[in-house]
Amino acid sequence: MKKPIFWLLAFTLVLILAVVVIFTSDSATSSIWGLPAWLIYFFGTEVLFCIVYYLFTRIFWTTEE
Amino acid sequence: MLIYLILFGYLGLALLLSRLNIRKKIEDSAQYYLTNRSLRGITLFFTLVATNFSAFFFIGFAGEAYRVGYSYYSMMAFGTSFAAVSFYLIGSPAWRLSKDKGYITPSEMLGDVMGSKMLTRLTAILMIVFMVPFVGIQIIGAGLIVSGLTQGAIPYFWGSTILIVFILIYIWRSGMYSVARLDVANGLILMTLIALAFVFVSRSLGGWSNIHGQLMLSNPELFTPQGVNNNYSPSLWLSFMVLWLTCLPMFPQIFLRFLMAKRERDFRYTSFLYTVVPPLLFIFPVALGIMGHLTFPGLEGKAADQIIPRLLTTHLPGGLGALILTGALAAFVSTTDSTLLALSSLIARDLYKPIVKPSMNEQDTLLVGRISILVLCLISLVIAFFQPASIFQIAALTFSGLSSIFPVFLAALRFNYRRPVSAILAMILGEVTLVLFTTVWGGYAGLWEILPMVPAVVVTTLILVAGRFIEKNR
Repeated sequence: MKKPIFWLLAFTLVLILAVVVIFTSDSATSSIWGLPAWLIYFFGTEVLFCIVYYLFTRIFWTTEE
Repeated sequence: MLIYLILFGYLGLALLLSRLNIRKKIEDSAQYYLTNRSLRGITLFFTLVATNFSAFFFIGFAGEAYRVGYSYYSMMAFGTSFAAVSFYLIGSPAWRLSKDKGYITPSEMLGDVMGSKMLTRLTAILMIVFMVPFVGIQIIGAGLIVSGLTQGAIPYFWGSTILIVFILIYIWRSGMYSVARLDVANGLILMTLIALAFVFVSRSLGGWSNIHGQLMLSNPELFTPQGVNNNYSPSLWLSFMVLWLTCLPMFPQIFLRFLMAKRERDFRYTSFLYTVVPPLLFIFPVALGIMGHLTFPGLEGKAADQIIPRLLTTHLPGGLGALILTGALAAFVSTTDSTLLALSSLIARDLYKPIVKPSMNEQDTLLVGRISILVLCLISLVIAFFQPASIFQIAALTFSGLSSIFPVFLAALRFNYRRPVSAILAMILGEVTLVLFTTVWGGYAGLWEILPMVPAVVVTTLILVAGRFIEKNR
């Protein structure tokens, strides 16, 4: 878990997920809460990124004080 | 009358707040520029956000969203969040080095780590060259906001002058102490007011679902993932991610924030909040821009940038609209004061002192820094007065120009890279590549739809890698 490569892969995967969500969704056919579906899925990806980053800061970013 | 009360009320309260309980005599640069590295969690976060979100956040985001649609949100929200990774990559080692060695500016840190005074000067000069037009643009924007707020009663240039004098007054004596205190207030003001603007306008237009139902029928392209006219292709979107990741830590006023944290855990906490807050906050100006199509359809070019003032004037009573627009002033003030301080630190510590008078003591260095702020204010006012066309072209390069030097900082701070000649060459050729791709080779459209800073960052990185085989590590 403490290996940088793990987190690099995690960030890259979230980034790829964001790209896939944004650029392959068909917004014309579906909407959720009055917004295009892709935007809601994108928001989910954003939340996922925040979680990954939070775990990263807690596990890997050790502070020396 | 009410509008003047709001405008000067804001300026008066801000002045009072910036000076309240600040009696500390400033003795050295660490105090004047970095609050003696004393900022903790929430203050550090607010000062970072208020500094980073300029008046463009309050006014320009809505204009872009009006033109492009919700795809603009996906680019800005993810890009800004993603930039938090660079807080770890650059900010964390910078904080530790600064704590150990007492560095104040990014250029003195880079030059000292690499063992090259020339590198310090080159970095400082590049940052100043890219940032002065940025300040000039901010001052132009501020004049327009004041003029718009008072419906032209205060002319544009007088608006710029009033605000720059206001900033000068409170940063002159206490520097970053005043700025940090005011940043917290300004950060809260701009976040609250943009949210209020969203609530009031959407209620006035019949509510969220009703607005989007109408717009999905009349302007479906605003809701497409790639935006109006397929504005963001996947390659362009990804190059924006690289841009935010690499340029944000290279803004000298942001870099200074990395060094202000009292403890590293305060900085770590701030960096996490930075991933969460922008996506929540950006939805407001973007949605306002899109809602603008209902009241003001068919705006083109720069007219779209006025969509928030227009919506507020139309849908809210005069006083309330003006009150909300002070959020744009708060955003302007909190970005400009920090930028002026950061630039003055570069001029005084990295250029004037080592070149003109190396024996200068701390108090004299601070005096030179303060005089630099005064000179920078005057230059900004001259830019605001003449508004030369070239200033907008140079300012457009600010983000990309700073991105191009990111690999050098990354190599020095994370990979123990100590090859100054390669670093200098990498910086210069990276910037040359950027200028060539921007001017001679016609921008991003001709090159696989990527931003010109991507090849510039690649060239900088390749030269650094080549340097490993040619130059010995010091």
